[in-house]
Amino acid sequence: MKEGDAELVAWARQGDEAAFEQLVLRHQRYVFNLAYRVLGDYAEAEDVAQEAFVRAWRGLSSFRGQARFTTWLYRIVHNLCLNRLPGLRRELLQIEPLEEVLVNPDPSPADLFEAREQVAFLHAQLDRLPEKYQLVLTLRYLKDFSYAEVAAALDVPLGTVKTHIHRARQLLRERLRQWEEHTT
Amino acid sequence: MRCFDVPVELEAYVDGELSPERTALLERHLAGCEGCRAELARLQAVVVALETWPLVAEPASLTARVMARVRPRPVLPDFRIHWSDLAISLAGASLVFAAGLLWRYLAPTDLASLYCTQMYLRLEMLWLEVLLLLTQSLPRIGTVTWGLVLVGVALVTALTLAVWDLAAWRGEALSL
Repeated sequence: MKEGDAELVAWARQGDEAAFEQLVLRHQRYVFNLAYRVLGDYAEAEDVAQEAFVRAWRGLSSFRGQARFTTWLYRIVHNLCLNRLPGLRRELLQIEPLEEVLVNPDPSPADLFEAREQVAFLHAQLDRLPEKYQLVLTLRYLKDFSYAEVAAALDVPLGTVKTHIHRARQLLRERLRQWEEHTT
Repeated sequence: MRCFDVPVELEAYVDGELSPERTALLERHLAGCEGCRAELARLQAVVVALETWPLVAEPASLTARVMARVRPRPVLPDFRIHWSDLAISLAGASLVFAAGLLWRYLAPTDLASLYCTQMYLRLEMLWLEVLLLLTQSLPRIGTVTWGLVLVGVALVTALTLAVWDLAAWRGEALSL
């Protein structure tokens, strides 16, 4: 039988290392990818992922189970990323006007020519988004977080999260429109 | 609804956050507007891309590294004087001491032997002092270590006695 996060967390809180190892195995890919997308560096992402799990283990007693374990875990990852990207917090709280976001949506010529399929083009564009958009989009779609959960993990207002996600998707739509014009 | 309003409405629409009234308005507009339908198709493509955003494989050693830091390391016992170790070492030293004395007194007595016995006694006292010093200064010394120390003491003592016996024998030979 596959235990849920809540059961594993309860056992891990009592010092069960095997239960915590199960949690690590279950979430390490997502934790690592969240850090990797924000930091853009494999080695740094590994350091952050490792540190995040160690901090989670040491701080399990403070986790009261009010939120999902993943929300709490990703918040730790986010805080570790903030230590490495001090300007990210300010960026997250700042909402640019849509016109400013779309001012230079042009994909590079290489992107336009290389991607033959729509989804491949969009995946390439996702990796080129500013860190804050990658962060909110990853949290929203990686584990199907609600907007409220994303806001809780990032400790920013719900409206800010919604606006960032809408802006990022509009930016991607605009780039997709240009790619369609190019391919046709 | 005007085309100008559609992009913002579409965001809420794909998230399922549009009220039924606004949904109906939007869908009515989409039915008659090819441009806005294309915009919806783009947004849906973006959502599909987000849901299938490829993940990078994490380092294979990540779990092991985390668990190595999570699992408690074996803690070495703090330094304490183990009275059992001390008793064993004292008993061993006393045994060596007593055996040496017995052997010396059973041997034929003469001036040289008495002198050697006296020196041997002093040497044993010195060794006992060294053992006591070791007890106080060496951290985490166990029974095996004490055993080795005692064997060393016995060897050095025996060697000293042999050298002295040889010197005494030479002295006797010269006096003859």
